[in-house]
Amino acid sequence: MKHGWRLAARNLGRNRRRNLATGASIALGFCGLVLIGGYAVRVERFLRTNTVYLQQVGHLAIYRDGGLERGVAQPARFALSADDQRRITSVLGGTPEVELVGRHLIGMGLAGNGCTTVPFSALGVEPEVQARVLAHPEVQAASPELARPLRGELLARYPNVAGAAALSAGLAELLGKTRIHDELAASPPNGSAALAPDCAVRTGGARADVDANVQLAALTWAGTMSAVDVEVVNLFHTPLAETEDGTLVTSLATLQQLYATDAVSYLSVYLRDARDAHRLAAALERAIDAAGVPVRVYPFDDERVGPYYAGTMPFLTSLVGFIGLLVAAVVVLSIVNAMTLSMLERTRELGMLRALGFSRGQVLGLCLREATLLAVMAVGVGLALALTIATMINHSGARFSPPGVPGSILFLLTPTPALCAALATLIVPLAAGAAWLAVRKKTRASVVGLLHEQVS
Amino acid sequence: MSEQPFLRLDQVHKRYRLGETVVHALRGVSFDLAQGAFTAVVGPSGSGKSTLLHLVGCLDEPDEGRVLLQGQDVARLSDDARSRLRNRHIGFIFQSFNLVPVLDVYENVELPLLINPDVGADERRERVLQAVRDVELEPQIHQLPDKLSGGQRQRVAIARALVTHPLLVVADEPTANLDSATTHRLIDLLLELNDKRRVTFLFSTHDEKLMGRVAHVLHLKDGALPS
Amino acid sequence: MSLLLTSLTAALCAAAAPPAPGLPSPPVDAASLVRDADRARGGLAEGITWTVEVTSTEDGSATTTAYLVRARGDDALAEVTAPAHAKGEKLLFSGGALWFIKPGLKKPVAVSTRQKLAGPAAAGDVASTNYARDYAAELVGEDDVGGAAAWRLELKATGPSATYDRIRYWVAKSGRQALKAEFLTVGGDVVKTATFEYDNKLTVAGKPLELISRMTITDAMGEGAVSVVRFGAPKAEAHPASIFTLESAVR
Repeated sequence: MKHGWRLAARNLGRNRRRNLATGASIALGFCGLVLIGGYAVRVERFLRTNTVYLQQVGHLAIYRDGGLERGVAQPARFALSADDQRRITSVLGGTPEVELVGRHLIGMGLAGNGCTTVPFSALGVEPEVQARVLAHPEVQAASPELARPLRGELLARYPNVAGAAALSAGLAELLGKTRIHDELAASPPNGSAALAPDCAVRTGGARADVDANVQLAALTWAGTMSAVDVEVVNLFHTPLAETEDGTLVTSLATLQQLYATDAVSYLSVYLRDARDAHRLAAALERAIDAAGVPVRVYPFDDERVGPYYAGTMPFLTSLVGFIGLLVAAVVVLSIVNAMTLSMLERTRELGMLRALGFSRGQVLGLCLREATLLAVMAVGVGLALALTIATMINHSGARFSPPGVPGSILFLLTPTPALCAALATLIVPLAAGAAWLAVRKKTRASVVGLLHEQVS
Repeated sequence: MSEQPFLRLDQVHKRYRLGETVVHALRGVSFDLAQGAFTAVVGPSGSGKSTLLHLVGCLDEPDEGRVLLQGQDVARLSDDARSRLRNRHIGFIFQSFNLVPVLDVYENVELPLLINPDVGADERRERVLQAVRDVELEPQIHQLPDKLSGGQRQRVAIARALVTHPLLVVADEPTANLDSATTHRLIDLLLELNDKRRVTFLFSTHDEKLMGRVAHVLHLKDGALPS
Repeated sequence: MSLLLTSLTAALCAAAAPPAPGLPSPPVDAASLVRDADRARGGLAEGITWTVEVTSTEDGSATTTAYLVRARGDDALAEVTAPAHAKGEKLLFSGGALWFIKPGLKKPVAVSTRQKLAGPAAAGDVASTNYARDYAAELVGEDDVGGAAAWRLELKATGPSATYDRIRYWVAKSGRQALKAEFLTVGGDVVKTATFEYDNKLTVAGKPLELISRMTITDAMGEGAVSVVRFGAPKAEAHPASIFTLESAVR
């Protein structure tokens, strides 16, 4: 019935106030869905970027089999030796989806300022790789503010500073390292740094900030005491509040010296497209095993390597899903209500249409077209409204702190075209379905019944 | 009767429930109509006029007996087939006009043709204009029903009933809501169409004044046709 | 790794000056038993110099580090003599704190008693084997340990510098030397066990003293790592307090 749409459009013109109210509720519902969806997209992207790039897990993290679970307790046994690294790198070199590979050492120990010590957890990185990872377009798009150090520059900018290291702001504060390398070079403090500071003065900060060096002590993998000097060149916030008081990033070489090893804990693999992660994880695991290194390859959303991502996404999904359900319920109810009232008023007209020869299906189709048309127009309005609000919010510079994240990030809503299209293809059939619920019974009634129903 | 009549009702019974009671609306009604007949059904309120017209117009099925249109038992048709039959061959005129308020005169008349795929766009336009001309509503062709008088509205309904070139037009009290002058003009119009097009008309009325103008009258009383 | 440090500490830590080892007066005084046992483990107020060699076997590989240890009272200074790459590194116990000093390192590293050092090893493992100071002792029974009659003591931590909540401690009735120790968690699980041997002889203040010669520590959890600490060439030597300061140690 090709003229059905025209008839439907005309019918929308009657009882405009009610159709306007129904349309408005659909439009607002759709607008709300788009905005909360935009928030979810933004947070997912933020979480993913955080895990993959900022925490340098990579889209894939390659550990020796057992290394993720027991690498900290028995690093010598579960690390990847120099020979392992060569074999793995050669497999990765033949994988076109791979964009970049980083080598990392994880270790713990004590960081001291000559007076006090604080336990640290360190990540060793290759400074050039780190610089490339943090400059990645994904990072720049999702959380550029977290990729920049709070103060100072990335490790790669200090090739001539021995043991250049980045400290989490909380760790730096505990150690009293309030001034970093660049700041001390710009305005050297009066007096020289004491070799062994007077630790009786417990205001450690006042004494410790005369230089930017920190001593890292740990047990080597062979089990002997070891220590190295590092120089604080930048301060950063960790993505998680729990790690803010004890995280340190330095060059792989520095950490390898501290632990007296040439092995690494894991390799981080950055892919051109995050969607390849799961497929490649299994394929690479087989290929590297075949090359003689028993490894496990973990995608970034595996809770063992990306606990924050894996832990937060189900919560976010269920929250957004719940709100989405509520909105959908409102849309359905308003359509059912509007169509039920409309059908009550038009009972005799439906009977007339049936008398003129419209089949049950054609009458039903006419009603569904009305609801669909109303929904499509409302979705258009809702989309325009959502995009306007999102643009306003995105330009307002509002910030927020995602749960468990120190510092704040820009509050952005990113309703992607895919999201909007997906929501529209959800809400329009939903509206049609609601209309079907409301008019189905009417269209089944007998023609005589329809024609002679008393309309109040 | 060896020849097949255009319409035959054979011992038709119809009951329907009205609250707690069962109303026996038609009690064994039988009659034949020839093609091109112009027939009125008269009788007091509750005599079963509307029920009879519903059965003749294939809007309903008899509980007993048969309604044969051109020899075909309409009760044996599916709902969709009956819908098609009404659309192609039967026109309806209602007491309360039953126009679609958001469609103008042209569009209301066009309505039944929209679901007939055999009628193309050009032919449809041609037929609608002709039907509107036939009921002398050309000046009002783009007006909405609520701008028309009662008589004009009923003429729109007549145009809508005739635009499909039906074999049979069923009209339930078509003049009940009209003044007497308008009523006579309308009957003149129906008679003229009946004469020109050989359309079979069956309409109900309880207006005694009309009966003088109708050749064939069925007197319905308590659901039966007393002989 | 905690084993290494624990064992090392056993050698390095000197007890606070114990009272003169008089005859045990019945009923047995648990606190004086612990003080005497600490003394036999090297806690000498008068000062001592000896060599300590720690051999740890873990994950199938053994490492040995040798120290020259000078101790007096609560303080001790241990200087690595082998292996060659670690030579010159020092551990200084002073005022209840442990310092790691490495040649070339800009500053010494303090290992405070309550901080984790690496993995499960707490720095307290190192500094708080001075049981008489850190624990309240209670005599709970008598046992036979390797053919020797021993008092069984329950030691409960009294201060924040204690490494363990509880230690089960066996001290020989004859000679009042510690024979065995079990280190327990709060829940009563044994974390590690230690046994002690006393084949060193030293004359301190004109009196002969049997000193610890070997301590064997076994990790009761995990994969059963073992550390053996050998003590040798003890010399009674009165060290000046100044050698146990950070300024002197980093020089």
